[in-house]
Amino acid sequence: MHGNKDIANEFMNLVQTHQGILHKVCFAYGNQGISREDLYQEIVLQLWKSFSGFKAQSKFSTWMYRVALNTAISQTRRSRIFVDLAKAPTLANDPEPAIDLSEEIKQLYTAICYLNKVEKALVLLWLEELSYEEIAITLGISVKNVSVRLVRIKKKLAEILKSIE
Amino acid sequence: MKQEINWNTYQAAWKNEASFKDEKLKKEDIQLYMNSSSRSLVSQFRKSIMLDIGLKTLLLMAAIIPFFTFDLQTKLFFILVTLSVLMLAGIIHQFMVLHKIPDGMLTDANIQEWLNRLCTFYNKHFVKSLLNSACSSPLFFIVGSMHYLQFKYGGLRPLHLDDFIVLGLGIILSFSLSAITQIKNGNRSIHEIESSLEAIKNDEFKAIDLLFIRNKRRKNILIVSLAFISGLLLFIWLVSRY
Repeated sequence: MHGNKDIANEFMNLVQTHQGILHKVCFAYGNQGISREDLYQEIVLQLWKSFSGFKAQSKFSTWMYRVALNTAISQTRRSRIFVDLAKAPTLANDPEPAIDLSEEIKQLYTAICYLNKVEKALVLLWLEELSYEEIAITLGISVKNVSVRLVRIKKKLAEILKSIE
Repeated sequence: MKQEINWNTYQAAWKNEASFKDEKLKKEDIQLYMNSSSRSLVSQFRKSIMLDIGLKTLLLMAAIIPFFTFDLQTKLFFILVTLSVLMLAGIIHQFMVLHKIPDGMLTDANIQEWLNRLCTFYNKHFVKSLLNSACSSPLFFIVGSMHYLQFKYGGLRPLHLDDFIVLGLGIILSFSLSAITQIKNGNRSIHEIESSLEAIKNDEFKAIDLLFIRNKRRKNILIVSLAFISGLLLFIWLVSRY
């Protein structure tokens, strides 16, 4: 009984400490179709369900990122992979705009909305300054593939950022 | 002159963004989420299967009760025994699919592996489960009809060819409608997963692979549907003979 309570407390402390990861993933994926609140709930639930399988060999933050991204990418309720340029949400019409963001992040948010789910994952991990090896392991692709894709995605983001200026 | 984007600026902004560092989630919120129910695709698979197991169990009980409460004709006895066996087989199959649901989701799988597991489970096992679920509609109709006939006429009245045609068509229609609806819903969800898988595999995953997976799924659906309809026709023929 005490053991379960201790594990739950340990889990809650870890999630609270690393909740920035949740905010970032939900910020990137929780727009059209999936509410951020739902995504927060689902990710925390999946983290909790998988917690017994977390082995302390890897960093908690890396593990948390993987679980969060797996959850966000496999959510299908009213979610869409590709966003039509004309219909992409901006912060102006974001139904959950509560947070106060810097100008660069606002622009980045708009650009990220145009990416598909996998591209979003790549960008998030790159923004987190993970190494190419770490990104490759998380996604399950080769390091070379990561490098090639990042070049393409940056080009795509650059075009979008220029078009929204 | 083209202005190059300074990605370091964006990376630094991302790293230093104050909103991401806010402690918006309190322990109470986290605890609430820990005890919530999942809306993931895996959870939807599980709920769908459990619902059908529950429904078939009720139908099985409805099929068995007449053995103890009514004095059954041989023909009706035979029909109810066959239906009970079919329902039991359906329940066992659903339990088998339930055990195959990909679990321990995220501790050991990278994103590509996880998406692969979902797609494989859906195409190999869940499609058959959906068709099994679709059988519950005609079974419901048949068990209900048997009860009605037993209650009103004390048993099966002699049926003519046109009765069999009408009943047969009704059963095929209820199965088809239920199957089409469930498969359409299921396919809509899995197409998104397949698209993500296609995006992640990129050059390694050609469009032809996706076509292969989808053709295999259609083949599974066709085979199981034909098996169901053949079994039904055989059943009707046996009932008409005896």
